[in-house]
Amino acid sequence: MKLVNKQFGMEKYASIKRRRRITNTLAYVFLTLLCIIWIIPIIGVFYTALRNERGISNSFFPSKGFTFDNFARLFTDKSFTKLYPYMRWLGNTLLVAVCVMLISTLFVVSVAYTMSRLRFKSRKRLMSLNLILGMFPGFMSMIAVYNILSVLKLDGSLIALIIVYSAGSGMGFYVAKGFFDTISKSLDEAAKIDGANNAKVFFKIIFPLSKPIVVYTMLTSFMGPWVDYIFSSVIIRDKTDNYTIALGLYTLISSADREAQYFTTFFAGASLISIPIMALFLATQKYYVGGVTGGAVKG
Amino acid sequence: MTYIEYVQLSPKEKIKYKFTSFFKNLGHGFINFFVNLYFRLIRFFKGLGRSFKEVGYAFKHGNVFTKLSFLFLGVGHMASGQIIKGILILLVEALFIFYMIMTGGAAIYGFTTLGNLESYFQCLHGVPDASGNVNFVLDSNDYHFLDQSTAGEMCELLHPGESIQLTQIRCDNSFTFLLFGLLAIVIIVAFVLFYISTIKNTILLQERKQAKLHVSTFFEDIKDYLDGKFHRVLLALPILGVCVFTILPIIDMILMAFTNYNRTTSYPRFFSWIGIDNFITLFGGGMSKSGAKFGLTFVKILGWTMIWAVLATFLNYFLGMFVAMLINKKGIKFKKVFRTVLVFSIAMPQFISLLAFNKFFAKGGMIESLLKLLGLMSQNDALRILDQATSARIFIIIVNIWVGIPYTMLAVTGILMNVPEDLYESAQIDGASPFTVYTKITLPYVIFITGPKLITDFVGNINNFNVIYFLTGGNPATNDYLNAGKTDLLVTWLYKLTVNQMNYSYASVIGIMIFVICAVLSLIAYRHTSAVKNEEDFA
Repeated sequence: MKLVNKQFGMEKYASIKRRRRITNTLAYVFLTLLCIIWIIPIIGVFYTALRNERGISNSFFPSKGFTFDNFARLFTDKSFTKLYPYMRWLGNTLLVAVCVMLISTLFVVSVAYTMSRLRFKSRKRLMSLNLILGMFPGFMSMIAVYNILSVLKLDGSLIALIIVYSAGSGMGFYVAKGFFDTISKSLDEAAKIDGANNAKVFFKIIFPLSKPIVVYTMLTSFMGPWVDYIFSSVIIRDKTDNYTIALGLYTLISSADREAQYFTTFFAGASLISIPIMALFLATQKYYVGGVTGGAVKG
Repeated sequence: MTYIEYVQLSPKEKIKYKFTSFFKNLGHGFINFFVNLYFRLIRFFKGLGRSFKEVGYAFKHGNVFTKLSFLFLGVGHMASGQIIKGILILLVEALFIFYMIMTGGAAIYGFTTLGNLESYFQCLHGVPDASGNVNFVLDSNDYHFLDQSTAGEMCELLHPGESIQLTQIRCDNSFTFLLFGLLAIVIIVAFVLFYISTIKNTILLQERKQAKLHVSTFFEDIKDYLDGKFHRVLLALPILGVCVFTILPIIDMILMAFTNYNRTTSYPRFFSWIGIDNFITLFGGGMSKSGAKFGLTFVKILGWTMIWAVLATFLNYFLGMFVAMLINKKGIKFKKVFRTVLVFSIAMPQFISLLAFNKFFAKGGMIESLLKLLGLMSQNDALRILDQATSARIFIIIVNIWVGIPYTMLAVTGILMNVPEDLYESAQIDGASPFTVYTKITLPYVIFITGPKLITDFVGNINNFNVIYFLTGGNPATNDYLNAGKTDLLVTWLYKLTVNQMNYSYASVIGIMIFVICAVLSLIAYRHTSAVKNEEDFA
């Protein structure tokens, strides 16, 4: 009897194993296909950037060969850079992005921590107010923001852009709050018993544990100015000197005749900024997925 | 219906039951929303009444200093020993009074009128010199004429035989009136709240002092900001930012819906209150042709926005979750490679990848040449995906899946890694099958964490500007709609109305409608999400 049981167990085990092998193969095929689909447009962007022609009117295949001229044009072609100062756009965006990153990270982390760990009277009310505010289309108030900024004599400036990107950033605290929620409360309680006040708990205990979420927040807020078009287009308008990269690049293909001249140049400029941003993203990917507080209390 | 009854239903009936109960809930939620609003308002006014009662109590039972505090805030604090705090409070009051006298009062008045004078005309005159050039000078009396023809006539009468030139001087910028008026109201409300809480504090302090209890020193007050009031320190700047650059503009735009701020007024910066006319135009505007078009466009675009938001949100959520589970499946190797490749797509700025999609799928684009090269399309044809409403819409949804899956994948992967290991361990000990583990532990955990994300994603998709703007620009354009195309969402229509048409009042109406839709939908959904109800459960 015992023997039969054991055999049965083995068989069952083998069948599970077989089934797993089949599903795994299917999963591999599916995932590989998925990856190919996902990567093609990205390759398309780089491919277009390297093409040896200027406009969109040419037929795409076969290509007339490859060149780095489109990249060179962005920096060295005087007649081009005079109209479209790519370097300047890069500098503007970098400046704005760094400032926004610092301010929003500060805002987001403090709001998220407060909402997650501290208990006070108006907490629930603030959370629902935030929810309600989030339901207004962010763009709806842009005209009013623009007018407010012009009253402050800031319209069209980079400072205005920094303000627009970072002032309301405290509202996007949900992801970070979710992170703080998963850190065990017993850490706080232990510290409190040892006589630490709320500030000390935050700076000495929780903050050092929050590296992943801080990096995550910094990353997302740093990316904002690089990828945003709509807000900067309303704020900066026609001040070409203060264009960010998205605005600037968009002008390259915003009309048919410019598109005929600069189509591949647009993709060259676009792939140039894509590369560092992608690299940044990939380098810090582990922060998204790293199990964070696994052994914080146990150990 | 009890659970037992539900289980006994046939699958068809189950679906029917779920379907009807969903709409019942929707109705209930809708009604509850307004009932709650009503009760909230009542509670608010009751709270206000209580505050006033407490202020009255303070006046009745306060000593001289407390009574003096009603005029000079902070005196009571000083009398009770909180000197520095008292001085600071007094300073706030002085600043407020100074502000009200200098600009506040005028701002409130300006708010009610939004400016009286659009522009006036000045008279310039001069005698032509030998070469015919005229050096115009301002009339010495500098009369201000309200209308052009009178200005011309008067000017000629005043300076017969000379060359005349009229210049129009813009006066009142209604927007500034609106903004500063609003600011004044906010400041007054804030001061009233500050006043009430200070008075309450004063009587409290007086009673503490009379009872010979410890009155906190300034140093202790400051120190409390690192402990009991630490939340105020952390929230101060973020809330200030939100107030000035989110709430203020939103109220501003809401108010604009009740004005005639659009290009049809002669000087776009000069507008006035017109009540709810814009809303009447939207809902029952059969009177004028453009009004009817406004309402029709709204309904049509709203329909497409809803279809879009539902499809975009749920397809991305479930497909992304599926992919994430697949990648995190036990026994799958190269997890990192798969993940990295998918993340590539979101690592590239959206305006680039989306514009690339648009250009590749456009007429004469990369896809067309590829299809022709492969012989799948005749040389004379052109790819017309983006020219037809239906195909353009399908195209948008498919591309959005391409955009959305990696995001969901990343979010879900992070959560999957954080599922408490002991849950799995105990499930294993109890002999749970992988399927049970998935449905009873993994899925509830993921939904628990991402529930609010689903709601914000839905709202985000209703307001998804990038995808539409860069993929199709709202095109194909149509004459049936008022300044919108077939793939426009409400929010891109809003963009077109403001940036291209400068029709701010209509745009504000649209914005308010978007808000109402989002608010009602998500308040209902939010109520049913466990993450909000049992916030501390998984912690």
